[in-house]
This record gives sequence, C-alpha cells and structure tokens, in this order.
Amino acid sequence: MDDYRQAWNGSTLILVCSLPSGTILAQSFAAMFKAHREKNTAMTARIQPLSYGPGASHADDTTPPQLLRAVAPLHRSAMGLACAVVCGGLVALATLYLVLRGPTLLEFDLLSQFFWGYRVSVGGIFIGLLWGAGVGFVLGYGFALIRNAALWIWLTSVLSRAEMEQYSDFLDRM
Amino acid sequence: METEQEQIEHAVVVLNEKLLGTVLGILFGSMLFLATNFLILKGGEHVGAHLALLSVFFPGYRVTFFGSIIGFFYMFVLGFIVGVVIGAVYNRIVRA
Repeated sequence: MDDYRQAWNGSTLILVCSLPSGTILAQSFAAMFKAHREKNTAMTARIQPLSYGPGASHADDTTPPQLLRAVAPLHRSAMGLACAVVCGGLVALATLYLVLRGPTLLEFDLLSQFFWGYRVSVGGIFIGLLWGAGVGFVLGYGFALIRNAALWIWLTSVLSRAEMEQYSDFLDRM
Repeated sequence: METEQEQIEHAVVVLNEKLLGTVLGILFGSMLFLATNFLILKGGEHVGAHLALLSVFFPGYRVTFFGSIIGFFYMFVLGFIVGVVIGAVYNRIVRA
C-alpha cells in the first residue's frame, strides 16, 4: 500500500509541477498500475488478458503494451514541430501562389496585422514561413500539452474510482 | 532489449497518418461546408462576400450550395494533406 501511496502522491506532485515530461504520465500510471495489480486481484483478472496477445512473451510483472499504448502521452516537441512544418508551409505556399498569380481581390497582406513584417512578396514568403512555423509550433505544443493533461486527469479519475471500488466493501469485512 | 522501465519512459503515442488525415479532412471540409451554408441561409445583400475570396485558392468555389460541396472536397484534400504531413513528421521525430 505504501508503494501505491508513493506513486499516487508522486504523480499528484508532478501535475502541480506543471507536467514537466509527458513520459512521467506513463511512468506514474505504470507504477500505480503495478501496485494496484499486486493488491487487487479482481482488477488484475480484468486487465491481464489484454497483455497476452499471440506471440507475446511478457513476464508476469511487465506492463501490458496495449495498456502502455492506451495511456502513452503525445510527444509535445514532435507535435509542435509537425504543426510548425505544416503551418509555415501553408503560409509560405499561399504567399508564393499569390506572388506568382499577381494582384487579386484577396488582401492577404492583412496577415501583417498579426505577423509583423509580412507582405505578399518574395521576402514575405520567408517571413510568413517563419511566422507560420512559430505559430504552428505553439499550437502543436499547446495541443499536446493540453491533451496530456486531459489524459492525466482521466487516468486519475479512473484510478481513484478503481481504488474506491476496491475498498467499497471494507467495512463489510471487519 | 529495453527493460520495462525504459519502455515506460520512452512510451509515446505514434500517430496513424492516414487516419489523422481523414479525420482532419472531414473536419476541414465540414467546417467550410457548414460555414458556406450558414451564410446562404442567413441571406442578406452580399452573401458571403469575404468567404467567396477563397475562390482565389480554390477555383470553382462559390458561396452557393453547389459551391459548398466543391469547397468541401477542396478542404477535405487540404485537411488530408495536413494530417498526413503532421503524422509523418511527428512519427519521424518520435521514432528517431
């Protein structure tokens, strides 16, 4: 029970410390899961079949890969970079298209209200690329951060419910 | 061979590129489809004067019901490409 409490308190502390690493989510969950599995045979009976797919060679004390996949966090920097590539590329391509096409009714220059220095020009392609990449990175990173936090909250509620179920008949056994 | 602890530490989600592309495609397409039809139903003197400027990038797109279908396909393709690129770049970085 001490192990379980340590893992639980540790993971709470991690959230308070602004979720420094997404992998900590999986770590804390795995620690809690391990402690839970040792203490709760009923829960283990439900979860164990997931861990043994055909050809799998997991020892009894390993965390099921399916479970890891289910609770694995998004890589924040990777998501940020991916969105940066896409957003920067979209702004640059749109600008390039407008430069090649010539004047249109569309006043794409209005983007300069947000992207300082941006213009529909050859130089604006690179400025737009940088601005788009910056905004995309922030969006992607923020998305992953919020998604990981939401996952953590969901895991916490699931585990607390499981814990309450485990001890719901505590008084009956006295 | 990684130990369990290492596996847990390194575990991150890997994205399904085509699935992400399809989801974003449907999302983007639906957004333009709904926005166009909302403006059509709302009516007025100059229906969708600003949204119609999308035809600069999407030839054939108009703020009409038929145009909203054309817009859906354009945005679906755009969303699909965006999703596939995000998935591919993300997966490449994660697997590196």
